[in-house]
Parts: sequence; structure tokens; C-alpha cells
Amino acid sequence: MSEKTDDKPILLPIIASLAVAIFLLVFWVLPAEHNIDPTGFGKLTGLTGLSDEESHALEIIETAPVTVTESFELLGFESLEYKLELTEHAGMVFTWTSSAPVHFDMHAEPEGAEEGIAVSFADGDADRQSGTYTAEFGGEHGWYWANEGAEAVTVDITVHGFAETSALYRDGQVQRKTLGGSRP
Amino acid sequence: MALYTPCPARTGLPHNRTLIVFALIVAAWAWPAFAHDVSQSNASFVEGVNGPAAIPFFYLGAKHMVTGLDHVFFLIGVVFFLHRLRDVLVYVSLFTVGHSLTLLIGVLANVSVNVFVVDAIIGLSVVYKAFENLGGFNRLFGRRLDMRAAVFGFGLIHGLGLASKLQALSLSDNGLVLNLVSFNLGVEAGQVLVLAVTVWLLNQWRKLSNFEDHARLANLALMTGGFVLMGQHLTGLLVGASS
Repeated sequence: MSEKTDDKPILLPIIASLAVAIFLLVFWVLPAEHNIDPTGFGKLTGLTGLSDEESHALEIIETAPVTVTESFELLGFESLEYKLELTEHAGMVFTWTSSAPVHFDMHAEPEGAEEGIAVSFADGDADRQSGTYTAEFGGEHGWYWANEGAEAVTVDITVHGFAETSALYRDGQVQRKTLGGSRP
Repeated sequence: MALYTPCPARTGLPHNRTLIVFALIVAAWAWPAFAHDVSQSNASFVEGVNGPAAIPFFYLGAKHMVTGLDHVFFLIGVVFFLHRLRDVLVYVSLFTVGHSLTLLIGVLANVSVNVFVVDAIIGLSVVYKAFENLGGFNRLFGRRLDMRAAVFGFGLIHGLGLASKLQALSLSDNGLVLNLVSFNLGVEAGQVLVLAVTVWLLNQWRKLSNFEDHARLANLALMTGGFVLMGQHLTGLLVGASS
């Protein structure tokens, strides 16, 4: 240990160090970490946004949920996409079954995103899947099903959720439906 | 640059070295401090574990140490003026024994303390060590505390903080001891990693003729960092935020 015993000032630098720390705390750390913003600097710069820890365990939505039931017949080697329009954090409970295993891809396309931009959540081959789903972003959320065999299959789906419109993509065409979401 | 050397090929060296040292210190500052508290996905993993998971816990321990700015600050403070490997080993072992004891006993005996208090004390430990490095105890009080006891004591507190944070995650009893020991070994591995870089950098730094001036500034900066950590966690304690 080389202890320095020179005669350079010590108290003043330490007070300066404390002053710098208080400056950093008041302007940066407290707004960002604890949402405490005495100077308004945090709000001005958006620092206070960092400490917003919103929980999405409960998401209150003004409209009533709708129940959608659809049945699609997929001929040999045919595919289609069924999507629901969900706003950010809106949720749905779904279940679908198929008369024989099909290839599926549950995915979502953010609103306003370029064609072909999608986030996939589950894909594979199955004859059923059920679950709860919460939209991480607003946009179209749903399923792609492809019949990989020559025999026709039937896919039945039931969704209970906060969708306002549905879209069926089939044979290069889109068929949109307004769902009976009753506004209070 | 005050360092003159007759060899022309080496004249540029001290300057470069200063640059490298400062670049690395800046990089260390910019290190993601938010990763310190067990991050969200890691936390859900820890809560979901039911059984022995040595490697993930080892990794978490190492990550906690390497990304925890408070631990890194304290270690830098401790080894700042230690240039002999033996001294480094003695102090680091004291710290290690201290935090291993409280980490293991704390979790196994369900001893838990307020994390904000512990984190504020860890901030204080950084201030304390920087003050000591600045010669503050000799200068202002004419005496100084036994550094070995202090480092051991702060080791105990660092370990208690780790124990409290781990317990807040409702650990499963299944495979607990193995997971804890793995976590602790990870902490040591992370510590070795941090120290290897720190000690090497400090030794490069020491070769500069104006190291004394740099050391003063560096320790004042460390002290500032310690004060910030203290303020942050004391505020957390006062406003009762969830950690």
C-alpha cells in the first residue's frame, strides 16, 4: 500500500466529488431509476420514461370481447391465412383443431410494417393447438395453415378475444370481416 | 508527456497507453449497469428452476460480478495501490471468504436484509476505499483502519446482498446447495475476470510518470461513483421502490 501523504488539498476535492455525485443523482440517476425529477430535466429528456415499469398483467379494454368460430376446408396442398386485428396488449384465447395434421405458423405482422415483415411465435406440424396470446404490438395476428397432403382437411378455430376485424387470405385474395364487437 | 525515453520507436507509447487506459475506463463506465440486478428473463429462469442447474447458476454468478458496477468499483478500489500479486491475492481472498460465507449461510438460513440498505452500504464501501486510497484517513484523522478487516467486513456485506437478492427470487429447495455453490463459484470466476483486466490496466497505468495525479483523479471519480450508488439506493429505500 503506498499511502500518499503529500500536501495536496483533500477536503475540497472530496466535497467536489460529492457535488458531482449529487448533480449526477438529481439530473440523471433519480429521474431514470426512481422517476424522481425535481428539476424537470428527466421529463424534458425522456429519462423518466426508463423507470416506467408498466405491468401488462391487466389490460383494460373499452370494447367487449368477441367470440369467433370459423371452419375452413383445405383441399390437398392448399394453404390459407386467418388473421385478427389486435391493438397493442390486447389478448385472445384460442383453440384450433384439424381433421389431420397440418403445417402451421402462428405469427403477427406489425401495423404499417412492410409486406413480408412478420414475427413468428410457433410453427410446426400438428392437428391442434390452444393457448392464450397477448399482442406485443398492434397489427394482424393469426395463423397460416398448409395442408401438406393430398387429402382435404378441415381446420376449426375458436377465438375469444378483443379483435375488431378478421382477415382471411386465400387464393391470393383477402376477405375482411367486421366482428360483432359491441362498443359500450 | 513527461516520460522521455531515448529510444525513438517507443516515444509514442505512453500517450497510446494513456488513451487505451482511458478508453477502457470509459468502456467500463458505459457497462450496462442495469444488468446488475438479476435481469428479468434470468429472474424468471431462476424462479422456474426446480433441481440442480450448476452451469446456469455459475453463469449468473459470473455475470453478476462482471456487470455489477458496484462490485467492480470496489474491486478497483481495493487493488488500486496493490502491485504485488501476493497482496492482491490476500485482499481478494479476504473479500471472497467474506462474501462466500454470508451468501451461503444467508440463503441456507433464510437470513435476508433490505436490498437497498445493502446496496447503499456497498456504495459506501466504494466511497470508503476511494477515501482510503486518497490518503484521507491518514490526512484527516491521523490514523487508519485495518484494511484487511475492512475488506473482509465489506465482503460479508456484499455476500449478504447477494443472498437477499437470490432469496427474493423464491429459490427451490431442490438442488439448492449445488446451485448456490455454483453461483458462488461463478462469482469468483467473474471476480478473477474483472481483476485480471483491472490489475493489468493498473500496472500499465502505474508506469506513467504522472500516475500519482491520475490516481488522485481516478479515486475521486470512484468516490463520486460510490456516492451516486449510495444516493440511488438510499432513495430507493425511502420511496420504497421494488428492486
